Amino acid sequence: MDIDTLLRLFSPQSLTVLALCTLYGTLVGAMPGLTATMAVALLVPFTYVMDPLMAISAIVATTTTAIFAGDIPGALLRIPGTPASAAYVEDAFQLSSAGKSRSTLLISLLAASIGGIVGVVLLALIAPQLARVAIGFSSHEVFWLATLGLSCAVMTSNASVIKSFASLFIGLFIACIGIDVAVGHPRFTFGWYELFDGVSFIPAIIGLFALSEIMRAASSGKRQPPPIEVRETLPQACREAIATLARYRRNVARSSVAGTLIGALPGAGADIAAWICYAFSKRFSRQPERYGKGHIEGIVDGGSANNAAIGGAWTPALVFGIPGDSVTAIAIGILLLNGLSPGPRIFTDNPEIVHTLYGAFALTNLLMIPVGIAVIALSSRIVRVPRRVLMPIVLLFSLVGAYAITNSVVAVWIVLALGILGHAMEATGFPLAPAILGIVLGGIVEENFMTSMIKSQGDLLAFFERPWAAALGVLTLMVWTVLLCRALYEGYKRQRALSFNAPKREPR
Amino acid sequence: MTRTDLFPGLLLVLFGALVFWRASTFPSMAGLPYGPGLFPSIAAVGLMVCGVLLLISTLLIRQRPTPASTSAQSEEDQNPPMHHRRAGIRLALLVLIVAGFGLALEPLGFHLTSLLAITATALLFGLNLPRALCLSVSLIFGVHLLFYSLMNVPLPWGVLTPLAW
Repeated sequence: MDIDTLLRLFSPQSLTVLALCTLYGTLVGAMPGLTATMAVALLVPFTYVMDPLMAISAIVATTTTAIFAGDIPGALLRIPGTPASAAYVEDAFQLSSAGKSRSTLLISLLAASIGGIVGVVLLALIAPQLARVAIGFSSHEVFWLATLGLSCAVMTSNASVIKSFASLFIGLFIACIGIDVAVGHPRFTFGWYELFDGVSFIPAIIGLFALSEIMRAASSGKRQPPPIEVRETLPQACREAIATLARYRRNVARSSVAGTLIGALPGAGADIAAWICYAFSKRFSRQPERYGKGHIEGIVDGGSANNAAIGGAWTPALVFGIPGDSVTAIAIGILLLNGLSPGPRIFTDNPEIVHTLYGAFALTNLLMIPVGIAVIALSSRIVRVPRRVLMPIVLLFSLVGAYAITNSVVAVWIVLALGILGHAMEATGFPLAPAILGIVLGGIVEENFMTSMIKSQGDLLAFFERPWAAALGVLTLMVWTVLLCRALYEGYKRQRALSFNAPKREPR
Repeated sequence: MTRTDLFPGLLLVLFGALVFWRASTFPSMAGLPYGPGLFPSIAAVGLMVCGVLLLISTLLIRQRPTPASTSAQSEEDQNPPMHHRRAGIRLALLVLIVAGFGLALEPLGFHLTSLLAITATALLFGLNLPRALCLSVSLIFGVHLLFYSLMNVPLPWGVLTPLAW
């Protein structure tokens, strides 16, 4: 890292932005139902007035802290603040019920901070090497990479394979709206010239994540449970947290590395990393029977994995220009708006972007510790902010934020349409993540597919002619095979479960 | 997967067919058998296949005495229909509020529209009227400062244009 970047990072302006975003991320993450993706989407209008370096730092700071802060309502209310905290919410809640909420949260804060730093160190080591390979990629390879990302999104979602695929195709269809890339024919715009540019991404994200969440809150009349009382003093909790982390230092190391690598898969983000590392932790633990009943080991693993994944998710984004999750997708959008296109060339053409990114990550993960301790001390007040105050605020920021992106009312309609879609999909068990990636990557996939088709005069075998293209293509086909097998297995399992269960349940 | 998948499955098939039909009307590129319609068609076929698979798996399960239906019944017992209906009404009201915001934003202006929409939302979530008004006025003031003054977003003034500052 050069001196210039360091000076820029430690300038008062940049430090203020980082501190504000750390605070903002913590607060949003700590509110049950407000996710890290939503925090970033609502931040986008503000990044318009920043220079791109500052905007990237702001995004990094917000996601890093929001993912950690998602643990707070998980521990105190049993409601994960972001999906990334869902894996170990049961353990966290049980521990808090036993009066250990502060030490639990401190452990996940420190684990998150270490995980985040490991994540960015690995990113800094791996990404430039990959970029050297990626610089020779043509439309064939990019097509396969994007397709692989989409397939991974289906593979790593927790829902049924059919529904994940359906969600993906919905996203791909939405990406088709607007002028087409090949000949400039307007598609599915119904004469609305505002749609010629396509469905703008930020209003789409705001609709899918923010409005659908408000709708969910409106349709469930349930009141929040009261948060658990805190019975530990802060210094006591600190001592215990450090002791626990020292005991489980191997878990932290293992899950930080694994989380980064999982995050680096296009399509898999922090939530998947947390689930997988939690499962691994249980498999290798000496006390697997205590998982889910208030055992700290899983929290150490999941907490470090999900923050490590945030750094990892930037690998495909920076190296290939293919976002690893919805947050990096937003970040890529911001870079593009500033005339910087992510891809292997960014390492040679705009190294300051890459260095600022690394620096912002490292700095945020350190800043997060004091801010996090303060928030943990106040946490039971923060999670008590009532929904009837919170939801109107989120609604206005969503609508005005969307409007600010496009300066037209069309944004409001996009938010509404995709909000209804997102709510309907969630209510019927369709995962949202594949749709988001479909919207983001649809354009890239189509553009590279059409370019390749035109180059090869429609010869599909050309997609396997170059060595990297062939390797990526075969990998993608393998993922598809796995998915097909899993879909068949799901159907088989359901049938069996039914034929076993049906007679047993009849007497009731 | 439960019987509730029947409707989404049908919807996917129908929507996919509609997209496919529209995509087939797009012109193709000069000298090539494919064009702008190719990619939407792929998405449309994908949607239809997923829809059909959902339908098949749902119908296969429905032929048996399913545990799904019993569990669905017990769920209904726990949540009386009254609760469902109220939830539906609140959802519809929220959609109406957002749609109203979209319709009124330019003619009426940002401030008045937001005042109405946010007050209504706060009431919907159970805040009383004085507090709802308080919340929305302070919120609009904050958003005005943040977006209009600080970030130069041209929020429309609508009927309040003579008062613009």
